[in-house]
This record gives sequence, C-alpha cells and structure tokens, in this order.
Amino acid sequence: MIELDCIGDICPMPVIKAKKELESIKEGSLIIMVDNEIAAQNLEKLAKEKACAYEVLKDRDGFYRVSLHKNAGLPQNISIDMSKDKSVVVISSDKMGDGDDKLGQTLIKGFIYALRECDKIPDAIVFYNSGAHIAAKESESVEDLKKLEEKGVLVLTCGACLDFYGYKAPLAGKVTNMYEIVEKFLSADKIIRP
Amino acid sequence: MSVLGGIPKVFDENLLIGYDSSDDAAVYKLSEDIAVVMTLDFFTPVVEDPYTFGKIAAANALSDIYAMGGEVKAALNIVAFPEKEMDTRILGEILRGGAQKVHEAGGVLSGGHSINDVSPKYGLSVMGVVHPAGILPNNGCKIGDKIILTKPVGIGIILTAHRLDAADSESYLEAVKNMETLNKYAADVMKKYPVNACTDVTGFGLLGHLGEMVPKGMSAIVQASKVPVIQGAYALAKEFYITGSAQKNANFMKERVRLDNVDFAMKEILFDPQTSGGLLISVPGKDAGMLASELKDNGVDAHEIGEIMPFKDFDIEVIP
Repeated sequence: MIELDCIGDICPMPVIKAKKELESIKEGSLIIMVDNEIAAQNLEKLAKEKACAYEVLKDRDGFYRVSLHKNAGLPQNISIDMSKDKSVVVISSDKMGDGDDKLGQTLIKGFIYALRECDKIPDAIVFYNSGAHIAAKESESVEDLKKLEEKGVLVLTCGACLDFYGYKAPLAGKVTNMYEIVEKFLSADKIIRP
Repeated sequence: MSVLGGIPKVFDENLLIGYDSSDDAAVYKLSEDIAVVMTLDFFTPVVEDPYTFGKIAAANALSDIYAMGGEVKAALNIVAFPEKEMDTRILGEILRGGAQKVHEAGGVLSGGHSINDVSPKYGLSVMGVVHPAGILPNNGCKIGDKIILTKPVGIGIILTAHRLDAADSESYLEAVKNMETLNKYAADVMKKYPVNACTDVTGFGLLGHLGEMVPKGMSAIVQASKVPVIQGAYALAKEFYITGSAQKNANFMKERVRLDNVDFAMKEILFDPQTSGGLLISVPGKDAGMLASELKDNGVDAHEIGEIMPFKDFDIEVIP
C-alpha cells in the first residue's frame, strides 16, 4: 500500500499526486492524507473517473484519510484463486471467546502463538476493531506476528481502527482498508474466526 | 452572508441596490435621471508579470460597473505592497497597467491608498453612473429570455495548470487576453437592447453566477456544448488540474443544479472560478440573435448558451 502525505497541499496537488501514483500501479490501495474536505471531494472525483473504490475517514486531528482502491478486475482474481485453497484468519477482538476479559486476552495470545507454530499457515490475518490492539500494542504477540509474516502470511490491520484507538502504525504487518478487507474475504475459501 | 448579519440596516430610499441582494455593485440615486454605481475589488497577483496583473485587476474591478448597466467615471487605486522586500518598480508596473485600463474605460484615475503588507494586492474602487431606469439587476430574467455569455470560461483551470507548468503557452495567453479585456465593449452593444438582467462571471463560476440571475418560478436551461471554453481547459480538467474553489462552488449549488449527463471535465469548467470573466446577459428570445451577432461584429466572443423557462425541478438544468 502506498501512502501520500498531502497535509498542507493546496488543490489540485493531492489529486495530481494521487493520479500519478494510481497510474504507476496495476492494482492495490493508495492512502492519501489531506487536511480539508474539499480536497477529499476532489479525490472522490478522481476515484470515480479512474473506477477506483473510494473511502474517507476523518481522524481525531481533523485530517481526512482517503483510500483509493484500484482493482485490476474481478474476473482475473477469480481465475487465479480457483486452484489454491485460501484461508483468512479474522481477529475482530483482543479477546478470545465470551467470558472473563483477562482469560480472553490470554487465550487470543495463545491462539496466535499456536498459529505461528503450526505447519499449515493462513494466507492472511486481518485485525480490526479491538483486534487492532494485538497488532499495534507491545506484547508477545507482535513477535509471533513478525514470525508469521516471515513465513509469508499477510498481516493486515484496519487503518480506521488504528486511528480510532490512537495508533500511528501497527508494530507488525501492514495497514489496510475496508476495500482490501472485503476483497480478502471474497477471495478466501475459508475464513477462520477464533 | 452571516458576517454581514450583525450590521444594522439603515433604510435610505435612494439606495436602489445595496448588499441585501447578491448584486454586482451598489447603486445610489442622486436625481431622477442619475444614479451613481459604486464598487471595489482587489486581489493578490494571478499572473507573474506586474503590468499584466495591473491590467487584469483593473479590468476585473471595472467590470461590475458594466454588469450594472453603468459607465465608468472615476477610479481610486487600492494597493498593498511589501515596500522593503520588493522592488518598487514592480509596483510602478502594476499601477501603470491599472491606469491603462481605467483610461481605456473612459474613466479618470483620481488617487488611491496604499499600505505596507507582506504580499502585494491591487485593485480599484470605481465610481460610475447609470440612469435609474437603465439599471440592470442580476435577477431580472424573464421567461423566454436567452442567455448570452461574452467570454469563454476555464480561466481558473488554465491559471492553476500554468502554476504547475502544465498549461501550454497558447492557452495561457488566451486566458490572459480574456482577463485583460474590458467588458465595456460588450456593455456598449448590450445597452442598445432590451436586456432584462446582467451579471459578470467571477469567483462563483458560470453556474454560480447564473444561479444569482434566475428568479423564483423560473429555470435556466444551459446547453453545455454551447458554452465557449478556452482552448486547452477541457483537456487540463480531464487531467485533474481542478481547483478547490470549483468544488466549493459545486457544493454551494448542489441542490439547485441538475447536470447528470454532463461529463466530469465539463462540470469542472461550469463551476470554474473566473477572474475578470465575461458578462452573462439575459435578453428576450426575439432579440438574442441580433444582440449576439452585433456583439461578434464588435469583436466580442459572444455565445448563446441557454434560455429561461418556467420552473421545472431545478433552478438550473444543464443538458449535454
């Protein structure tokens, strides 16, 4: 994912910069930070013209986090994915199961550790809502996630959730957005939710 | 408008046009056959060359007198300039450009005021006269009127692209030529016709200013393909040399305008803020052809772009 910091840029600079980046990639996500709503609206026009998915979130500093998602085309994705069994692990909470919070937190740490030790690895692990704490807060799990990344697992954390909980970036893996999350879910054969 | 809300209103029957209406200038009646038209405008440089900037700023300020149906009599300079940081010869060039346009308008430059400021700004306070019966309000359009535009649009897009080194010199020079051109020549011809309403196209863009002209109970129908556009502006809009101001104008007009079938680049042009833009003239349909051709004969790039109809769904409807 490419990130463009366009805070302080006057229109049309954010749009011109974003257009250049979009043209340089075949598919994927582009995050553009802008400091006013008008710039976000101009980026929305770019998204529409370039047939990209558009998402905007206003963060606590009053900045706009715009994600543009360029998709090389759905038919292509499907044909690639047919042959391989794809699994995605979804971690939507920093606790595993219902019951005592402390126990839940210990269990989720255990789950990630066990995942790391497993021979069969998932294609991706997606963290959202309070699950984002696991990828962004110092804990033993961060090391486990780094190991999983080394093994080729795509570790993704929802950017809006990181913003919401006040994190600048995850300690392991990459930032993602709702479009990538949806795409990962749709192209998965198996979705595992502990 | 909310900033003006706190100013107490004093009624004076001789103030024919004040800031209650969104008009181009104030008009104050002195006698049964004479009223003064007063306006002022100034801004930061829109082009690099100081002499050209002076001409553009003056043409822009003078334009409001013409949009009211008046003639220019006298003008005062409004100047802000960083006296220590910048060569005062630059200021001399700005003033020379401004004076040239005031004289071309048939007016006399009669003084002014300057202050020391971090960035240069220039404009004019202009006084003109009009016969009270000859005042052209913004919103006097009548059903059956045709709308005539006297300068091509797209100036904002060209200036933006020029700052980013993306506009070719021909487009830029065409934009400059249009900004420098006084609306006097269009106004001189217009006055011979039974014009119902007139305004000039500036910061709110073509549709923003047209929106000020359409009275309640009527709709303006604009044909996008008939709107004259400065060469190169369409291609630049397509490359996203678009402005924040155009988007603000579009947001402001959102509820009042329908332009579903107009492509993205043309939408940008229709909301593009203009500097020293042309006149928008609303004239009865039967006179429109004659007025447009007489304007063209006098070197004005006039085009009929739409018409006024009974109200239907939106104040302005743009068709491709």
